[in-house]
Amino acid sequence: MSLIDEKDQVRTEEMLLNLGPQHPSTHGVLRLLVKINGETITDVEPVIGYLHRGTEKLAEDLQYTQIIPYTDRLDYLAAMLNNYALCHTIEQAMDLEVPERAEYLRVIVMEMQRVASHLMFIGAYLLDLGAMSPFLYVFADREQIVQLFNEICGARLTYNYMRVGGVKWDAPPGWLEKVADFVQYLKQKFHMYDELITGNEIFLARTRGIGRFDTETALAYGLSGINLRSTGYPWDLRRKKPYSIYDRFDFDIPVGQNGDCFDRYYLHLLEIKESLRIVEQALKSIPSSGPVLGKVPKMIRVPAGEYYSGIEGARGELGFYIVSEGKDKPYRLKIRKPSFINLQLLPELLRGQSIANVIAILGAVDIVLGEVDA
Amino acid sequence: MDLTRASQLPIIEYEGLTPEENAELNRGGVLLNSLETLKGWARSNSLWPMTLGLACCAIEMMGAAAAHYDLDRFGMIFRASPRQSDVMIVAGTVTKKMAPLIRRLYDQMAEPKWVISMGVCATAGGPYVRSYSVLKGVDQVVPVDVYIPGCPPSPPALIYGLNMLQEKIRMEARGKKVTRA
Amino acid sequence: MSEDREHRTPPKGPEGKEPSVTAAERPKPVSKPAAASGAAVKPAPPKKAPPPPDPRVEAAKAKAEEIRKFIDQQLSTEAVVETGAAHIHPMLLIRKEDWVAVVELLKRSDAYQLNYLECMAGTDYPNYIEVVVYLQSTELGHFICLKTRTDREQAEIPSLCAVHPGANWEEREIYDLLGVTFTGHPDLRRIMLDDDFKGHPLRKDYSAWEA
Repeated sequence: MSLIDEKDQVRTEEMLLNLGPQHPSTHGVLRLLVKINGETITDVEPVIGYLHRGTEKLAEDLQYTQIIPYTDRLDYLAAMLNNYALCHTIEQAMDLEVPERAEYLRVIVMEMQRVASHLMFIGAYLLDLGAMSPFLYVFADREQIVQLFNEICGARLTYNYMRVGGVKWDAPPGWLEKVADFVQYLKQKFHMYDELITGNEIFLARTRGIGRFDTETALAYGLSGINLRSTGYPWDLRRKKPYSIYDRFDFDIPVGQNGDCFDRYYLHLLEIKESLRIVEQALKSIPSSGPVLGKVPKMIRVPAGEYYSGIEGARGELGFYIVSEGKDKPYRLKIRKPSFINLQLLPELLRGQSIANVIAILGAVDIVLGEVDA
Repeated sequence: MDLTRASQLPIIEYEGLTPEENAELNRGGVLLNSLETLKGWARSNSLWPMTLGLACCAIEMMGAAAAHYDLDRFGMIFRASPRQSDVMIVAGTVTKKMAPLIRRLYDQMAEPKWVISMGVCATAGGPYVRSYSVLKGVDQVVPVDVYIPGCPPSPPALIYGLNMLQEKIRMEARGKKVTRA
Repeated sequence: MSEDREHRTPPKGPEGKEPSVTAAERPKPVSKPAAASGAAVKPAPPKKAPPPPDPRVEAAKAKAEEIRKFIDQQLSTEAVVETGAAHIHPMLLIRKEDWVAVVELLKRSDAYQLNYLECMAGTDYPNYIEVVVYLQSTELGHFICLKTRTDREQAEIPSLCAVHPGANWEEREIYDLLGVTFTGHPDLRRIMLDDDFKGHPLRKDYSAWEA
């Protein structure tokens, strides 16, 4: 068969390309069925569920405190935030008061976790685009955060640190000073990242104007977090529906202009800066001592009814919907998974793009498969 | 430098050779060993793992490969293709949907090949053992050489597990059967 | 059974320790008792309030009633079956037939502009399956909860995809795990589980052994 057809044009036909589930750039076990015509993508079908572990069903059989470790394993890059989201919903439902010091400790670890998660995004995204060294740099820095968490709660990745009504452990002596040192260190490092990556011409060529969408689309698809903010819409639950003690801190909500991959990358970098600002302020005003766990009944029983509350996770709005019968176990627990909802837009974004942009666009959506599949 | 210690070491005498031949080998600085041992030594020092990051453990696996722990010290470089890799590190929860694919990836790897089950999820289901969609251990679909406990195992634990695998490869090359650490 | 016990015992140990840790720390600072009592004063009003109704819940109920009037005016049917409060948010139970119309009306209306689908969940109750959506107005700040119910045996609910494209995967997930058929959904297939999986695991009568 000839490659040239009768009209003297190169003969093309549609081809089905299977990406994943074992692929280094799909951030886990995502599978994409990509239909391509030459170099152009005509259709994409994400296939998920390769990491569906049935957390929601398991939770129906567990007491509230026992569910906290399972939330660690949803979005394993931001376990502290997941812990908090569940505890926050239960605290809202039970009208519990959290001691001051615990609130501050929570904010410090949550913002540090956001920094760690965003650093990880930057490293992994650049690795996807073919740059190896940022990955090595961010892992060295992230390792320091992980070590700090290891000191406060004894785990490197799955912390199980928060409890309903406070936190499990008070900070060990000298820990807050170490955090302060680290914040100073990372502030200096921040400029290095900015110079190393942001101005890089190859990086700009691969991300500027790629994977664009507007605010209307983002809202219609229910996107949240950086994906929504990159379109210039300042939707951050820390400001819009203040929870914990975020109303006490002075920080900005960086927003993008074009809604492209570059904006999404750059917002991650800017949010690191804002998170560091929050940690700095929290370290200044944290009470020097005090209880870290409020007066909580031994057996946590959420009053009958249904509850939903969401927080600003590292990837968007992370919410828990709990239906309770007044027992010590939830009747139904549903997780509002930001990655899962953000990923829905992917086929729309990829249609008509060049095959080379698949990874650039997918990486910028910033998904964690543990959360997508739950 | 004191070389007396070296001169005190026993001179290796190979069986089946005449004393003259042994002396000749010794003079030329030649060491003899079976080809299998040599292959085992070479293989164990260039184990290329496949990136099979399934869940949380994948992050610690990446951490082990990154700057701080640096798996490259042991000659281990992550490969994305099963055809190029020697060892499959099953890092994370294996679901029933993923299990057939892991088997296929294992079949695609070239011999000799080894499997490490990283973390309790891959070993026995871990915290998800009662879930309707999780496989209770990856050893139901592929043969596992080393199990690493932990949820997730820290990078040092993974490195220790990989060292155990190296040990196992060298031992088996000498014709010994390794059943436990 | 024995597994159950294993899972339950661990939290007791660490939890038993907690009060002693906090108690040990409390006597140390002198200024702390004042702050602690200050904190204790705050929760008192809401804590005492619930026996007389919680003002937040009352406000939510009033708002739900207000929305009901609006829907009655615009759709002029018995679309709203029940109003109430889901914790502190207004809650409306919508008749299945008017499900899409109500959600669309609230999205397009100038008064509410509920344009952001925040959470969608399905729950299996003994006699019916309930689908809940939490809707948010990003401009006006309204946040309400809408519900609809369907029969367990022939679970069928009209799809919201045309109004909120973001409902697409959520509905697929509910179809997959709860077995609710969404009529008018563009691509209703299993999303989490294999296509040949039997049963719907989030139903209360699901058993992994029978399937």
